[in-house]
Amino acid sequence: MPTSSHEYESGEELAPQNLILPEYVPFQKVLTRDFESVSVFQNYASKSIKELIGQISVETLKYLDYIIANPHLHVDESFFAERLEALSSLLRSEEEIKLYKSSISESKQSIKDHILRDHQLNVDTLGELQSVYLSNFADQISSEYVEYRGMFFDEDQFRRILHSNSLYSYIKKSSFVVQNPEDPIPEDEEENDEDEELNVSGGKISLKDPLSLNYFEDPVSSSKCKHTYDKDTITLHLNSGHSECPIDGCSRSLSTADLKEDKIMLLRVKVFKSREKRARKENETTERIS
Amino acid sequence: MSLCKTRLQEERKQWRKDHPFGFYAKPAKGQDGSLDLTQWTAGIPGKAGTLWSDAVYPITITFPEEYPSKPPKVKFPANFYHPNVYPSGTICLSILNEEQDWRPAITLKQIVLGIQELLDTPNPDSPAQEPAWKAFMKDKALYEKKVKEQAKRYVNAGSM
Repeated sequence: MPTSSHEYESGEELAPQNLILPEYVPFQKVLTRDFESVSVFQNYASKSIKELIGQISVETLKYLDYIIANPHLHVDESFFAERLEALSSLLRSEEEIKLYKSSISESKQSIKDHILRDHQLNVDTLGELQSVYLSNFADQISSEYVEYRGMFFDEDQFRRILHSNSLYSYIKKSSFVVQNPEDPIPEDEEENDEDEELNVSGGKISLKDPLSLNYFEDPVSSSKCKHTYDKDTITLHLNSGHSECPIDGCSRSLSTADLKEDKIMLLRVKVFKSREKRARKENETTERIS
Repeated sequence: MSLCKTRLQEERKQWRKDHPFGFYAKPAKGQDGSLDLTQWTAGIPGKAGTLWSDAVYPITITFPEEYPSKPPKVKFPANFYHPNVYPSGTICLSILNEEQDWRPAITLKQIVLGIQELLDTPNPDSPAQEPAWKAFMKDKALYEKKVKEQAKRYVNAGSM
């Protein structure tokens, strides 16, 4: 609002008596652009979370390779525990950012509505605004976020997200498998997987392809029955007009679309073979000595 | 190498490492002395305490090119006396039938054990020959006599 020098001269009513800022300050139009930039921060945060998760993945794989190459070394379980904890916090932040994004976009909408309706704060509107009792935008944004979070952030749901995260479950399983390549992974109370029909023989997990009876080279698992096969042999079997799981006693149907890379089985075979190789070498050495 | 060959080599390795007591199984030798992994001869001992005991019954196992997607063909000698064996010697057993219970994961060991089981527990619902099936259903005395006679012919057949 332009104020001419003329008005100043007219004395008494020149300025409002009460110069106290109102409780409620309308959103300044000029700040709209700054507000838009909030999403830049979100993207930056999401990006750095992804980078950190990638780093955890790389570190874990490196450590596993190291253990495989050195089967005589003691496995440091805290390595896995620490990675799992860090990954869990990162995934939690990722979920929180998602909520934050939704809440911000809602706040943005309500601010837009207010900008259209509200007067901007200036000397003329001061008196009027002093009588308005609304929460300010900053407070509104934070209270909206708190409300949003309470409404949508569910611990049970987060646990499900965590357990369905492929890296999380890989780290968890690999910490066991790298020490017990032939043993079934102990049941986790948190993951009550419906019917676990594993390829068990005598309490041990078979590391051999049921079709070729050779050690797995490129193991894939059926998402329907959880049985594992080598990619080449199962593909050959399915392409020869068969559409059932090749395991006797399993009545599930199977198609190439149900097959998923089985990284844990691959790890089992690698660890097992490396241990065997080392055992052979040790035998040779003792024979030579004696 | 084909899946059939790879699998059969591994079957042979496993059989040599460990196989059920009283059984034998080996691939046939070709004329030049090389092994033909798709043709095996094997012996099934009758279970102790049954009509079939004290004898080892010879079988031939033929693995098709599509093995293990398709099952092997397993035969006793022609005219073998058993309700579920065709006059040609072909064994009628669900785990050996591609349309029924055959699965590629079934090993040689499971096959021979399944055949041993079939000897003394014939399936009356799938007759494959008239003489043994009729006797089994209607004249147990004749059936037992015939089975025992047959057992005598295969005494020591597998002790080689």
